[in-house]
Amino acid sequence: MAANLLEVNNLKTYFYTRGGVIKAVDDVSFVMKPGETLGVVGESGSGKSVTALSVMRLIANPPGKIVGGDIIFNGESILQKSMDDLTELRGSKISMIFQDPMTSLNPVFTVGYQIAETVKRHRKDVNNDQAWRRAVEMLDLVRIPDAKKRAKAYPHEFSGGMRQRVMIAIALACNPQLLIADEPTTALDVTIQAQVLELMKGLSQEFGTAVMLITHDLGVVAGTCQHVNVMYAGHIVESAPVKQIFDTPAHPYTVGLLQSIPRVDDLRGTRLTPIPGQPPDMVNPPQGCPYAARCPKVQARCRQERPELMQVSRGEQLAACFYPN
Amino acid sequence: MAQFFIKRLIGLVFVLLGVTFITFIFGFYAPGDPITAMLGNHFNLAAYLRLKHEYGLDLPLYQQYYNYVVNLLHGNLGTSFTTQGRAVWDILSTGVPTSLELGFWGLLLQILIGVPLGILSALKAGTWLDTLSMTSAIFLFAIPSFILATLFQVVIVYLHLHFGVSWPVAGWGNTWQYGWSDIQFKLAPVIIYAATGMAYFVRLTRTSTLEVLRKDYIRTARAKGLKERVVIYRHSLRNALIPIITVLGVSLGFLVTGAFFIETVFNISGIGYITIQSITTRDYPVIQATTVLLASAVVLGNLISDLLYTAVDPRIKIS
Repeated sequence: MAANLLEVNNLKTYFYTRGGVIKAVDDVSFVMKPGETLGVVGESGSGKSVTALSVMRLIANPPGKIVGGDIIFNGESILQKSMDDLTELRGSKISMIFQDPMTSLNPVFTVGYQIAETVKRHRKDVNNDQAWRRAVEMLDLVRIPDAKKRAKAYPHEFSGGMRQRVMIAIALACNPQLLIADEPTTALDVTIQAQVLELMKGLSQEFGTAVMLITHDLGVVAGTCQHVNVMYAGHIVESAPVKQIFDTPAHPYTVGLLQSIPRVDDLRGTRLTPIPGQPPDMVNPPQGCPYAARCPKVQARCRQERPELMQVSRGEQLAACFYPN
Repeated sequence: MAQFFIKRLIGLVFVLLGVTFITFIFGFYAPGDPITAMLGNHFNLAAYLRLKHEYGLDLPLYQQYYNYVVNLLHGNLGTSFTTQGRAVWDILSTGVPTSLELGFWGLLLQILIGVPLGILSALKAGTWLDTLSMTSAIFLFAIPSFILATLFQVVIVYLHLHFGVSWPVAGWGNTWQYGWSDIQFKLAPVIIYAATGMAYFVRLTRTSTLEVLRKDYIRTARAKGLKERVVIYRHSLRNALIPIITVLGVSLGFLVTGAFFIETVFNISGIGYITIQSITTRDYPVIQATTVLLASAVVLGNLISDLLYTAVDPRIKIS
């Protein structure tokens, strides 16, 4: 068994606001293997993005702070690295693309420059010409037509989908071992979504890059990921291979999520089942299971103590539930 | 590009027509009379009527204005009423270099101190350094320059009386010359000129830098592994400069027109001083000329800031 590429152990990232301490990520642990594609799913505010930003140490401080746990990348703790060592890692070994391609690129620099700049930063032996050629090559790889000419264009001359491809080009320019994609297709048109996902999937396979794909769209996960973490209120509530998530979901929240997405093959036109209620207050989380208030199968014990992530009967599948399906 | 400049020049013509017309009307209907002022104690009706005719002031408004514009188009700004028929052009050409010099050093100081201090404040937002620089900025911004100027003079006079300190409290020295005595004259007006504007640049730069630092592309720059220095000076600064350039354009326009208060308090014969003088003596040709100068300078300043925009922000194209 290959060594783990990324280990997140008991990560706690809190935000200190006037209204109190928001436990955005509370005691989250998971691992990623080299080349693996991990989906992180959950609704808004479940802690997906904060987990990702914690791995990059891009949490704005203040108000945010990683208060506990550790993040091990290639056997080294990211949290203990100096700022200099950390910037060596960012963009070269771990890179990230963001939700909104319209605002993620600097408007005053050409896209070619923004790619070349990353290459120059991490490859000491590369000169300006070589970095530029690499930028054009990357634009070509992400299927920007007429890459040589378009490299000299500015972000505002590109559409949203094209800009996200430029972001992918920046992220992959230095052959990273891990690509974190934070809702990379959420802001895009549906037709463009598929193209961008396909591109990301294809290129990461080609480069041997592991991908942490953060999304609230289970459909995206189904087509792309090998393993899925379902997050709820700052916790991972279920962690399983993608097939088991869809075939035999163990946590009631996962079941609820699956029931609330429309299916193309459902010809009878049954109504979707929404999950009633709202996520819990993150400042004063309830005692016990965070999902208890919305769970159709809630028992007295669920309100008393919080279930840890534990193995359910089916092999690799883990769920944080006392009464899994 | 050429088209852009032609358009701007045509625009300038209309702006000048507008401002000269408005000042003309104001001058025409304002109470008081330049000839009466000119004659003073030697007033007699015959001389009054003769002079009035000589200066063309007995003509109806539209004809006066027409004559003025025609003269203006010939590059003739007319002659001053009060200073023994001195050409207005002559008066302006002594005032402009002085005002330009005061404005140049003042603005340079404003930018050289204001912009870096604003960036520093933004980077250290919320710390004592930020609080200190913001408090002093708002303090300086709130005090009118004539108070600062007078305060300076009072302090110097006090020091002179009690400690024998000798330092000029008025005058300008030789224009664009920097011997020690010239510098002594120029130091205080320049610093006081700079103080107010500097405070404005500090606050503006701080706000605009803070705003840019929150942008997604700054997060991207960090995610790419760029060093913090590069993130700030390459990725933030250029974006943060965009609003500053707007203000700079307006400031550039006011460079030639001088600082009314500072020039008056320090008795510096720049355009500001000349303007105030001409208003008190109803010297219409000079008032008109300074107005035209101000309008042209503001239009020109805006033109320069538009050109700077295109240099900094690729989204803005001249067309």
